[in-house]
Amino acid sequence: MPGLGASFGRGAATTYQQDLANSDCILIMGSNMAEAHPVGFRWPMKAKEKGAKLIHVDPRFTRTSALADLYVGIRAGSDIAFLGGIINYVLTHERWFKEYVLHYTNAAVLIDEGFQDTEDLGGLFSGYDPKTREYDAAQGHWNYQRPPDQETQQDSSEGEQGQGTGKQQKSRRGRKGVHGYGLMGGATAHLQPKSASTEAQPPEDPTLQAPNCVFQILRRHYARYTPEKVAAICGCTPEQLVEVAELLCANSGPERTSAICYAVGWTQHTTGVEIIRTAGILQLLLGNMGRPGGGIMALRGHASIQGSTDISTLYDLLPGYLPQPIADPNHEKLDDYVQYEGLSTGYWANFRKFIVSLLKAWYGEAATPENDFHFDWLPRIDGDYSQLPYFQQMAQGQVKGYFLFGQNPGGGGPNARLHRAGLRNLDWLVVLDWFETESAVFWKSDPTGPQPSQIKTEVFFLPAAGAPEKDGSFTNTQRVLQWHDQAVDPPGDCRSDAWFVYNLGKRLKRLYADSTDPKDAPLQNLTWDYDYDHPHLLPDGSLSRIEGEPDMEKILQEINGFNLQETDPRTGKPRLLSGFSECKDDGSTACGCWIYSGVFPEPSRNRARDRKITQNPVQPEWGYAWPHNRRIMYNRASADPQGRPWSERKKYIWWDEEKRQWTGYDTPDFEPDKPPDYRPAPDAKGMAAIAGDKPFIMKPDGRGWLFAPGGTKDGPLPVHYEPVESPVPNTLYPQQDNPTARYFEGPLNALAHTPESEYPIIATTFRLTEHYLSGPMSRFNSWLNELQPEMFIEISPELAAEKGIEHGGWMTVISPRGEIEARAMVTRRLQPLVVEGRTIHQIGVPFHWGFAGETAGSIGNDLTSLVADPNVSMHEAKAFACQVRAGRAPNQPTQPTKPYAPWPTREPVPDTPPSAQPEGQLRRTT
Amino acid sequence: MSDSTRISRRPALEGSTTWQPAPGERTAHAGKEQPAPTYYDVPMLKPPVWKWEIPSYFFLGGLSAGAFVLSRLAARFGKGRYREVTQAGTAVAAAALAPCPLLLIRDLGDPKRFHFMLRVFKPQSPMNLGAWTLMAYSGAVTLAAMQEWLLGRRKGRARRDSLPARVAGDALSAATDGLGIPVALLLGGYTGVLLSTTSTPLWARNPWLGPLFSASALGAGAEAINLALSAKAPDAAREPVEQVGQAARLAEAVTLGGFLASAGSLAAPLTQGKYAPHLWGGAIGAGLLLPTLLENAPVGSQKTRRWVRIAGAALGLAGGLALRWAITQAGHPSASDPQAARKASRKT
Amino acid sequence: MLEPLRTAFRLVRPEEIAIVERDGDGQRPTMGFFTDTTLCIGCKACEVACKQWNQLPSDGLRFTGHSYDNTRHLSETTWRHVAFVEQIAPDRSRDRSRWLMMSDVCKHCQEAPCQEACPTGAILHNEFGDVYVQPDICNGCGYCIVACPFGVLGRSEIDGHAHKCTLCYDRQKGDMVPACAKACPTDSIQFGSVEELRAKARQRVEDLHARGQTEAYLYGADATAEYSPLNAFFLLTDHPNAYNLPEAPKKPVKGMSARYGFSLLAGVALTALSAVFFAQGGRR
Ligand SMILES: Nc1nc2c(c(=O)[nH]1)N[C@H]1C(S)=C(S)[C@@H](COP(=O)(O)OP(=O)(O)OC[C@H]3O[C@@H](n4cnc5c(=O)[nH]c(N)nc54)[C@H](O)[C@@H]3O)O[C@H]1N2
Ligand SMILES: Nc1nc2c(c(=O)[nH]1)N[C@H]1C(S)=C(S)[C@@H](COP(=O)(O)OP(=O)(O)OC[C@H]3O[C@@H](n4cnc5c(=O)[nH]c(N)nc54)[C@H](O)[C@@H]3O)O[C@H]1N2
Ligand code: SF4
Ligand code: SF4
Ligand code: SF4
Ligand code: SF4
Ligand code: SF4
Ligand SMILES: [Mo]
Repeated sequence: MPGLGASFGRGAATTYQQDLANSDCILIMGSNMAEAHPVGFRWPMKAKEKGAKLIHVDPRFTRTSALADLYVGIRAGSDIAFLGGIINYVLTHERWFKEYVLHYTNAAVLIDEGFQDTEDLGGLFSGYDPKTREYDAAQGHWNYQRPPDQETQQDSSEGEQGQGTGKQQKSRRGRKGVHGYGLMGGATAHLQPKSASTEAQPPEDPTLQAPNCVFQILRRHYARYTPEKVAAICGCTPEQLVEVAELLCANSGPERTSAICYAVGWTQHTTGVEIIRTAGILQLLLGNMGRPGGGIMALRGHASIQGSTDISTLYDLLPGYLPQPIADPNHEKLDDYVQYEGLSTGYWANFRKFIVSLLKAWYGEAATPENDFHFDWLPRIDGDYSQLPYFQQMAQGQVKGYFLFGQNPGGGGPNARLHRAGLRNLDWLVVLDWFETESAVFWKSDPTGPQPSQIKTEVFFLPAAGAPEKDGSFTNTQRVLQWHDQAVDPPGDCRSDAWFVYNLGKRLKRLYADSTDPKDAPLQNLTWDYDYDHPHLLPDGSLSRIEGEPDMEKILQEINGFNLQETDPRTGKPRLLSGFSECKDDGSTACGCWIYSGVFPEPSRNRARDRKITQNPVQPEWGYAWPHNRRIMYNRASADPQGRPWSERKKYIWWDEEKRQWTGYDTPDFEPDKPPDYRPAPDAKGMAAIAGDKPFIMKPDGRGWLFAPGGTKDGPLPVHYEPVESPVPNTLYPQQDNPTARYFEGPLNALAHTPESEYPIIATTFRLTEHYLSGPMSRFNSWLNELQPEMFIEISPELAAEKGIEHGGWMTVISPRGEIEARAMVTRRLQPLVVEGRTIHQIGVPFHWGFAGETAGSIGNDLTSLVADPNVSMHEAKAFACQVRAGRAPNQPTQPTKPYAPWPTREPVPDTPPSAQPEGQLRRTT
Repeated sequence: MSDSTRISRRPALEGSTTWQPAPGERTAHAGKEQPAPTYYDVPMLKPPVWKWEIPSYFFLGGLSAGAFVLSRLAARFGKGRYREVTQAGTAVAAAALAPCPLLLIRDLGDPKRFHFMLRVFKPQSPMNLGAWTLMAYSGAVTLAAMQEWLLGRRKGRARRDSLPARVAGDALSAATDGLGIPVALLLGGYTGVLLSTTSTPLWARNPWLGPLFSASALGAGAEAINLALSAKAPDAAREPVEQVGQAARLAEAVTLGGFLASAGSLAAPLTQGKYAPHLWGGAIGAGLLLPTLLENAPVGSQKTRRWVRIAGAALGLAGGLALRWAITQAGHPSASDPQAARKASRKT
Repeated sequence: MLEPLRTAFRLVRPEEIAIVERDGDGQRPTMGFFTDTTLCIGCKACEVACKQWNQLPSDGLRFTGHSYDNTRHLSETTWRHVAFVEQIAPDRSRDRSRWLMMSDVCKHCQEAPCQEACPTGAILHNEFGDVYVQPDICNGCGYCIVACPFGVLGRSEIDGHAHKCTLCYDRQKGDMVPACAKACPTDSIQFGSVEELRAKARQRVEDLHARGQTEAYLYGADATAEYSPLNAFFLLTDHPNAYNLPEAPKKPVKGMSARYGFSLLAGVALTALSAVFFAQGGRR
């Protein structure tokens, strides 16, 4: 999500799905929303009912395309070209939203003279180091121009989101992959203060004429993305591009708004972050950010995947997007850390409050101002532990043991074969899951693997409890926390993940209880008491069978935070915080994840439990959205610079002159009483440095970033690069692919560097409504299996004819990583594209099948590769090179591991007379 | 399901490629003499779940009814000349009726519930009416059998019956005929109506099916009696029975023609393909043509005459069975053919 | 011991096979479905929701190659079925390319051939005006299966009874929306009083026409010359045949009494003739 962070400040969907119903035009690109988010797709459909235009841009004609007003088929991996073409159209036809752009974006800001664009350097920005394949933003002068008085040679400012290359080599800027994800968006190295590259009040040229102002740089940068050129790259027609551009322009401005929805069709590219950046630039130019019916809807997938980045299951993040400190002198002491990671202006000026409150939440009494709140106890990162390089190391036998909680890398991981090789090289593996997945039975059922006798891994399978069998909360794609109560006890030995972790922690603490070794102190002092105060009852009032289950609401309270100095008379415990604004940096508050603070403001008030439908269309009382229950972020931008709604039709948040405060339907994402005409003093710090007409408060300058000074690791502006494996040369720039992309080449992970005649066909992977991810949650259920019973591959009749492939017959796909077989789904929904005068074929590969479950099928991910985008180590499963032929492939999954059971559940409904049992349960009646 | 489980080799894109701007119109394809687009050749209707029991029941029920009617007519109008016909007819009727309920029950999805049809009287359902008819008819056959038994006992006794006995006898036979004959005629024909009151293209609302089954019922009855007599009482008088047989054959030919004509191309599964031999060879060849030929065959000796008769009757019966079999079984391919279903449900 | 026998042999109470007054009776409106195929995203949630609520078995694992449709048709174990029709021109031109999706279901005919055919009275119009098969009365004769002009019903190999959509009779009794309609994310399946649904549907067609989607029309909302209105009717955008629906469903019972007449006529004629033959003693 740093694509969004770099542009707006927070790396999360800027709006909520219900709000899509208020859009006048919705561009769905890089997502198959109708199939992968069917319930959310209700809202685009509602908008369509109201006359909004739906656009779907996708390599395949999908169920989403079927419902769209306009479908444009493009080549996988050509999105930046397409969006760049729209940006160019908007700029050349003067269709951008002048007042919005002038006040709310950094269009007028002057960039350091030394900056050189891809125009001048053949597809590279200034500051590129071919040896390390990395940018040095400072060397490249990506930063804002400084007021003459404080000219100082600025140093490195590379994006902080990435994890460096797997090669782990030394470099001037310390080890790669150790630069945490860190503050959303803003970007500087850990080796000098983050605030270095930007200014709260940088020099501007309101006329937008200065050659080095962002606006002019942008103009020049996208000038070459003409409709004709773009069409030639994407394989569509210039008319189609213009039509999409026109629809977006016609439906943007004071009276109308357009929204953009994307998902992994964008992210799963070595340029993924930059594609999202391009969308961000477009939405800023059209003035659609922070407004109803506008914004960028990142459709995140896995239940609570948003939550798992907020509370952070990522190795380089602490809860609330605080960077994990690294093994580096600048992170020795808390003060250095704060100085280097915090910002002096904008909301991140509160950085110290958040980290201190976190340390208090974790180490309690032991964390005192005197001992630096034991910042030294936090583990330091010394390498890249993101999934891809980590499994590569595993495959090389460098990892001994592994806990697998609800993940199936053996089928879902890119280059799944390599992932399985990794699992095979472990000494022990603990799989905590609902089903015996590929990752649990790889040692005996993998047709591509060696004999079980050759595998040393000892696998422990622990049955996990299902969602209805445990308390907890989901944070969905729109940042809304929704609590779910345990309905029943899990069967048999099944236990919740929390139970497992909590009790594992308890045992470890017991184990090290009387150790005197200082390195055990963090464990000894870790706050770890979440036992129920009262008996653990189920909704029906009966006593739960499960012993040792932690009280999840206690954990949510810790996340929400306490004021340790005040006690709540009702509980006799420290008072719960009403929100993160209460966090202090003196150790008087504890807060487990600052952005969630406010979710549990009072002892008996878990706002994630709220399910109230109100008159307010925003429904603020349904669940709880971070930050501080804001449903549309940056919503100050829904009012004009003077604080008036842009139009009656698009009224949302406005300045109430009498009350002297911001009001509206949503919680203002702004200081509630800061008037629109507020102007900061030149040396103002913190929020005081943000003017009353600067809506993007997470940014040090309060502006939306068209040009990202700190930049992401691959540049301050998005550039069209070809996918790492592309049969097509980059005809926009000499530079073929992302110069900062990271490779993990090896025998198990061969790449077909481009252009490649051996693999002339483009493959992309996708989802079906009927199945879920690598399949464990659907392929064990015959009601879903019957709907899509076999692995198939979508291929155009043209290509099928060329290769003699028969509809419904077998076909084989070969990539440098492996080969798989599948049924051929010959359909005109796929089309050959004419790219730069050449006919290019694409195929669609679902990745839902494997050898475990009720239906067995080839693993789509045995084709995909391990390559990583420089910012978030995202793989490129959405565009890679392959070859196809008719017929079957050797040793593919055929034997399902579970016998087919027509009734997934068939027990008669308990305590129910036969007459009232489900209809058609089809038992012989007498 | 009964229709094919193989993968259709037709690409999805050929599923239905016609564009229909004006709904309700015939499809572009159908306009020209090409087949209307189907949905991947998936049947639009469900084929009957009936197996061999139903056509067999149709045949035996009809045969029984026919034999019964003739036996009663022989008794009432035969002026005592056709005692053997009545005896044989009654025996045949009873014998053919006996397995009928068993066949019906065996065919059911839930056999122990056969009598559920008799918990309601619902004449608008041919099957319900049929069930009741069968019951009533069994009653009639029982009465007839009783009389035969009584007459049998009286045989040989010299003294004439007392008046009351005679009155009773006449009343009994009057009841048997008055109730029995109409019910028997209904039984012979309702099966055709039952088939024609469905959506199966071959049968749907074809007015000739009823008469066809009625005719072939009487025909089969006649042939059966013939056969029985040839076996038991070779020299018994029976010309009328043979005449009825001929008349029935004629009627059968006419109604079958009518049936095929009004079914038109929808009769294809019957006139061509799997069940064509049953129709042409069985129903028409063996059932109609050969018996006619044999009857008019110039054969001299009594002995050969007798064998020719037997052969003719046997062929006639086989033909009757083949007719029911072909028409009923051909309903399966008919219902499974999406093109037929489309044709049958077209606006006219 | 005696109980099963008694239930087995008692006569059916009239109301058990009664055809509840439809539309006419004021207090309870006829409930039904309006399935708007222009809103269907083919997610099959309806199909799964139906199977789960009614605990119907999966039909087996069979890849058909019929676009995304692998369950193929309604059956005794599939009471909702989503059809997929790919109509994409060879040149992929926009105005001649589309992908139709349609969730099919029992039509709950106001005058239902299956109900008329049923000899046991197992099929009735319930108090919601919907056609319901009473599994405890059905004896599996299979007559309804050939009577239905839409090929909806099937006979279960497992319990030997005919089954089809109940329009969630049980849920309706509990004032719940049918499972399929509840699951439908885009309101392609709309449940309600047929009267209101019809009005809604007509409005919808007008709107679509106004927007240039002139091919949209209602299927089964009104009686045809041949057939009663359907309580589960559809909005379609192609010829019914494209969705495997009959162009003009026909009533099997139409002309039934005449057909009885013909068959009796034939019987009586031959009987009379036979009488003559016997009377004349076969003299020529
Ligand atoms: N039923 C179902 N729903 C799901 C999931 C599931 O497995 N099953 N998974 C959930 C999860 S974890 C996630 S992350 C989301 C993902 O949701 P989506 O991203 O919508 O799902 P995908 O089908 O992987 O990809 C979407 C589309 O991207 C297209 N695409 C591929 N390459 C490109 C490209 O280069 N450019 C463009 N513009 N489009 C491209 C594909 O053709 C596909 O149609 O879905 C969530 N919802
Ligand atoms: N080629 C290709 N590969 C892809 C993608 C793609 O688009 N194309 N998409 C990628 C994306 S976006 C994602 S999110 C990943 C997803 O990949 P994974 O994270 O591996 O997702 P699943 O395969 O669903 O595995 C999740 C497992 O968690 C188990 N589970 C569910 N609930 C619980 C629970 O409460 N507790 C426990 N302990 N286990 C539970 C399920 O049974 C299942 O086995 O796949 C990625 N892989
Ligand atoms: S599965 Fe869950 S998250 Fe996905 S669409 Fe359905 S309801 Fe939404
Ligand atoms: S559609 Fe068929 S099954 Fe449904 S009510 Fe009408 S006739 Fe009966
Ligand atoms: S099968 Fe059952 S429901 Fe159908 S007609 Fe026969 S008895 Fe009635
Ligand atoms: S109404 Fe109920 S029974 Fe009928 S299809 Fe819907 S869910 Fe199934
Ligand atoms: S649930 Fe609704 S949208 Fe999904 S397939 Fe069924 S009818 Fe269509
Ligand atoms: Mo995902």
